[in-house]
Amino acid sequence: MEFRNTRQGMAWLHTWLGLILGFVLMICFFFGSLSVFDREIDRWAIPDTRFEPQPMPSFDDLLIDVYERTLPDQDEYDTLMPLYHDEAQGPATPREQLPADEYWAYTTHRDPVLRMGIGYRVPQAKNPEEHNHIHANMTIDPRTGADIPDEQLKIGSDWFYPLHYSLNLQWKFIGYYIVGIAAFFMLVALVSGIWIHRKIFKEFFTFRPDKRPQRKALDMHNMTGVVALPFHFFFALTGLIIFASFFYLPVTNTLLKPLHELHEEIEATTTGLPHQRAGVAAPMASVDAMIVDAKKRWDDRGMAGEVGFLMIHHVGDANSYVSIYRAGSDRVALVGEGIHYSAVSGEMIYEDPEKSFAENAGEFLTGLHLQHFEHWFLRWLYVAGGLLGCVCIATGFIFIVEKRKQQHNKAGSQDSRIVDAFAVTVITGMLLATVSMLLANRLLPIELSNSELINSDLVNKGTWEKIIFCGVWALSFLHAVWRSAPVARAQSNPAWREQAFAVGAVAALAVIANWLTTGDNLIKTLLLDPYMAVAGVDISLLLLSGICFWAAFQLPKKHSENTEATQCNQFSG
Amino acid sequence: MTSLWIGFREYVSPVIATFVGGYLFTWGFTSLVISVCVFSGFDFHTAEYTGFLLAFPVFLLTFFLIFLSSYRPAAYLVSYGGGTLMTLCSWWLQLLMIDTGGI
Repeated sequence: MEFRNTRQGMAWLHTWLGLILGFVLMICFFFGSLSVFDREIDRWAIPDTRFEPQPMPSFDDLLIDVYERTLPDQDEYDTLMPLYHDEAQGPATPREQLPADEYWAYTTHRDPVLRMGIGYRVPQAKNPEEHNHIHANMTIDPRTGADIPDEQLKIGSDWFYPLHYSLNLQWKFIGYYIVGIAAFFMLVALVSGIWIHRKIFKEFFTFRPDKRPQRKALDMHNMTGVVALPFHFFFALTGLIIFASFFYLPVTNTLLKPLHELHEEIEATTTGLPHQRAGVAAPMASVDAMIVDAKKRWDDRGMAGEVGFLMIHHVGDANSYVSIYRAGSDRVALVGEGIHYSAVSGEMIYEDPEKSFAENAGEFLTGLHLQHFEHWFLRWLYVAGGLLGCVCIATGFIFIVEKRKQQHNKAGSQDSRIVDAFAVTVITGMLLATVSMLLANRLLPIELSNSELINSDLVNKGTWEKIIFCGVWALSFLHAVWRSAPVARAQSNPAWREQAFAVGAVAALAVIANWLTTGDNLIKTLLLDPYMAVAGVDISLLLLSGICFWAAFQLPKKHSENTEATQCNQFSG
Repeated sequence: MTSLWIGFREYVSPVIATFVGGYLFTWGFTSLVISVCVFSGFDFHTAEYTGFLLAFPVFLLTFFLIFLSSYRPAAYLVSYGGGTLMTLCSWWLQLLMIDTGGI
């Protein structure tokens, strides 16, 4: 592969890497945009949780009861116990008798419900030095301590949100790696895009709606690429940094693991926070009293605030300690200002010191990506930036298809059909899968989740919602392929128009279904009994519906063969 | 089949080789930055953050330098060889610190 000059090499990279990985990036950007309001989508999907956000409830009066009544996850126990347990030391500890090793609870300014978790230790472990934990994760109503069943899928935070960084492909974490590679090549595409578009300032102001689709698509691609360029670069970069130590560059968990472990041991001695259990049972002091003290200390430092994250290490042991972190809703960086107490005596052991420049920079960047701060306007700007990224990628696809199908028509090739079908699938197909899942959420009976007659995942409402999401998306691809024959004749694929109509209809139906099944219509959620989380999702669905109907009417029923000469081919190989 | 192989050899394999070379170089660079920082007396987490903040810009730069290089074998040699060398150096520094407890 030889290029005449650097610009030609950059153009090749931009075109082909953008085409191949753009499909993944489209998913990342779209579901990343939805994730900005993941908690609000959860409220829409689980009507029982439509109440105001709550602060961290009392540990002594409420949380401890939840921890003590919870058991380890059955599936995780079945999978991990044989891996962790040393048969030579005796029979495995039954699930009901696994001892808890750590408790945690987490909330934000947008959460009515409280997420909690327990890490259970395996008493007779093969490798006692390792982190042999089997977990239980639960969500409760913090006002009463009642469980919110996990079978009622949190569509926003447990489906859309992980979709944008893992594609929900958990096998060997393959989804994380695919997204990581796509994010890196997003950076490559951005740099190469700047390189090949020399007149970047002029292109920012150039949009010619009266020109042919190919030219319009390129203008729109350039404009959206330039206007949100820092946003796109920043999000791809920080996404990589967030997962660097776990997946993308696990240097300190592999090559430098001995150094890391030595550091942890030394840190435990300097901070006074025990690295290991003592092996001596001890009761727990009042955690509520520690929280009161932590809040006073934050107040003294001029940063009064609520608890965002609470963690109890080495539960029930003489070395147990409680870490209390402040909710970072008033700052960009994540939760912080941790204060640590002895769980036995209740005395403060250690207060996190000021962070170094590199740590502050890292936390600021990841905080900007994860946006735990309370700033609604900025939150909407994030959505706009993410959707501009989708438009940029989508118009890139359209430009390539429009350009190639003219050439392929002359050459009698069918290659454009498959690219066009993929483009339909990740644009209108993705939207159709999303709104279909929301509609299914409102139509499927809740009894599916509560059935005690048949204990099977097949009667789980959340599972059916996932099946419908994936099924509709797969069908949209088959539909796009089936209807793609005109593309080979340099005409438009009717699937664009048909799927746009379907998205418009299903999105509107989802709003109506929400009204009929919960009584929450826009008059109520906006005026009579305001609840913006639900109103926002409804308004977004109606906007989407309107845009899709408008687009469907704009698209030609049957596109005549475009005989104009191809003029915009300087950027494609 | 032949055209597929030619396509792979001409277009796909250089991108994969460039990506792997860039990654290996970045791996070595990051591990060396972290171990040198810790060796110099910086806190481990500060060293870790410093390494990760620098890693991806370095990866991006290395990727472009290899891909656009006029003589790619030399670029492969520098990236693969340099990455391996830096990895070995950081491993050696780590052993030195653990042996002496100098962290």
